Amino acid sequence: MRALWSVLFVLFLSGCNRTKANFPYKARILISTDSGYQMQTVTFNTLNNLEKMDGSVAKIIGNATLDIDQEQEVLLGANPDEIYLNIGEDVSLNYTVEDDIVHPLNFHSMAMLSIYYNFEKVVEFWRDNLSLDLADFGKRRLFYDPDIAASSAFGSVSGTIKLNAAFLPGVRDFWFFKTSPLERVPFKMNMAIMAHEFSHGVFDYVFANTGAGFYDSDSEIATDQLSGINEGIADYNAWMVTGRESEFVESLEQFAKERTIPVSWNSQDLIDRGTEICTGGFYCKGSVLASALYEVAIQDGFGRVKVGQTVHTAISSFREDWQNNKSDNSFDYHYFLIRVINEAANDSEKLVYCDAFKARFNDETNLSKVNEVCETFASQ
Amino acid sequence: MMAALLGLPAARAALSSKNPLHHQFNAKLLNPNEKQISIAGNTKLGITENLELGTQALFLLADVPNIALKHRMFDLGSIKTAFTSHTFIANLDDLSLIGSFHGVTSDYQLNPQASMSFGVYDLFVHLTGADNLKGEFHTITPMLAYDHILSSNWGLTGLVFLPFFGSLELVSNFADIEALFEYYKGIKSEEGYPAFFFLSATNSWDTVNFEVGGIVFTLNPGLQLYFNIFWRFE
Repeated sequence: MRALWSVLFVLFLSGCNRTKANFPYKARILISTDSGYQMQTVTFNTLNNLEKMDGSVAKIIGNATLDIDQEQEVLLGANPDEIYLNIGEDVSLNYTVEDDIVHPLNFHSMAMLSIYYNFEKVVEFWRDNLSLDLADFGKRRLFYDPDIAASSAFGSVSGTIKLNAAFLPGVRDFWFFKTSPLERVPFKMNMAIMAHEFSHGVFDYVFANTGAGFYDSDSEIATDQLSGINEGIADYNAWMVTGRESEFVESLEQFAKERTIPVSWNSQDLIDRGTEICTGGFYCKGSVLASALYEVAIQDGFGRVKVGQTVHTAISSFREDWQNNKSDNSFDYHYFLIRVINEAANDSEKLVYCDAFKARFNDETNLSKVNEVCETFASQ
Repeated sequence: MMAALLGLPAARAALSSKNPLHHQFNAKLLNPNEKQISIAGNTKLGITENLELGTQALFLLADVPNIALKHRMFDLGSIKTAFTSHTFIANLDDLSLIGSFHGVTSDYQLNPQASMSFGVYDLFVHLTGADNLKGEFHTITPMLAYDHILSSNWGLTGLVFLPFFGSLELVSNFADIEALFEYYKGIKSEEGYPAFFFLSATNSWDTVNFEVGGIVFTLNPGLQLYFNIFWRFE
C-alpha cells in the first residue's frame, strides 16, 4: 500500500512539473510562408507570459461578451466597461515543451499562438517600414472567440459570429471570432487578415487620432465612401505585408472573386452593373482602390512597401478633407487619390499614380478631379 | 334521417357525461373504434381505451406529414391524466422542420357537465437547413382548459396558454446563437405578456358538430375567428 502511494505521488509530481520553455519562446505553429501555410518553428520576440499569452505588444483575452444593446456612441466609446458585458479573462495555453520548443496541445492553443505571432510580425513590419511609434500606438487587446449579447423583451440573446475578424474603434480592440467549418486556414490564423485588421487600427490611429466620433457624418453616402477607402487601404496593406495576392483565399474560396487584387472591375463598372459584378457593397469600390495601388506597386521603381509608405503619409492629410467635406453627399475617393498623388516623391512617380487612378477610377466624378491634378504634372 | 342523408354510419348519443367534449388539450379520448373526421381539427381514431391516434388532414394535403397521439396515463375516476402530442414535419426550400406540441394534461371533473384541465406543454421545433444550420426551439407553457356541456346539443370550451419559459439554440456556418425567453417578464414590461386565449361553442347535431370560436393573442390584439365542422361516429 505504501509503495502504491509512493508511485502515485511520483506520478503526481511528474505531471505538475511540466518542462518550462525559456524566453524568448519558440513554438511550432501554422504560419504563412512563401509556399503557403505550413507548420514551422518560430520565435516570439515580445511574448513575456506564455501561459496567459501576454506580451509587450498585445494580450489575448478569452470569454469576453460585447453588449450590443448599447447606443452606438457608447459602443464606439473608449470605456471598455461600458461596452463589454464581460470584459473577459486571461487565457490559459495548453501546451507541452520539447527541446525548448512549445507544442500546442489543442486547436485553441495553436490558434492563440498563431494570433500572437502574426500580430507581432505585423506590428514589427509597421514599425520597421512605416515608422509606427509602438509606444504611442500602445499595447492592444486581442479578443479570442468573443460573444455578443443583447437583451430582448423576454430575456437574453447571446451569440458568436463566425467567418470574421474585426477592429473596434474607440476601445481599439481586435476581435477574432469563432472558427466556422467553412474556413480552411482559420481566419484568426490568416496573416493577411491580421494585416488587414491591423491596418484598420493604424488608419484609426493616423486618420481619426483614435477618436471614434471622428468618423461620424450626417451623410450615409460619405460614410460609405470613407468605409470603402478604409477597406481598400486595408486590403492593399494585407498584400503589402504578405506579398501574396490570394492570401485571403487560403481561408475562404469565396474571397477569390471579390477580394483578390487586382479585381476585374473599375469604378464605372460598379455604377453600370452594381451587384452583377460585386455584391460586397462599399468593399467593392475599396477593392478598386486596393487594385490601383497594387498596379502602381508592381511597376519598376515602386514596390509594396514604398507605395504603402506613400499611402500611410496620405492618410494624415486626408483627415482634413474628411473634416471639411464629410457632410457632403458628393464626398468621394478623389480626395484620397489626390492626397496619394501629392505624396509621391516626384513628378514622374505622380504620373504613374495618375495613370493607375484614372484607369481604375474612370467614373466622371473621380476622373475629372484626378485629371485636374494630373494635368498639372503632365504638362511639366 | 340526417345521418342517412349525410351517408354516415349510425348516430351516437348527443353531448353528455358519457360523450363529452374532447380535444387535444384535455384527457378525454375517443372510445375504441370511435372515429372523428374534422376539417380544422384532427381526424382521429380511438385505438384502445387508453390510446387515440389522429392527423390533421389539411396539413397532410399540404404535404406536411403529421401525427397526433393521445395516451391516457391514469384514470382515477374524477381525475384523468393523459399524454398528448402532435408532431409535424415540414420542408421549405432549404429548411427542414420537425415540430411537436406535446404535454401532459389532467382533467378534474367538477360535475357531470363541467371539467377543468390543467397541463404543461412544450412547443418544440427542430430545424436543419443550408449552411450547416441546426437549431432547436422550446417553449414551456402551462395550460388551463374548461369544458362545459350546456345541453345535449351545446358545449363550451375555453383554453388559455400562459407561456413561461423558452429557449433557442442555433448553429450554422456563420454564427451560433443562444437565447433564453422568460416570458413572464413580459407582464411588467412595455412589450407585454404573450398569452393565448381560445373560446369556442360546439353545436352537436347527431353525428355532425359545428364549432365556432375565437383566438386572441395578447401581443397582437384582434380576434381571430375559428370555425370547424367535425363528424364523430362509432
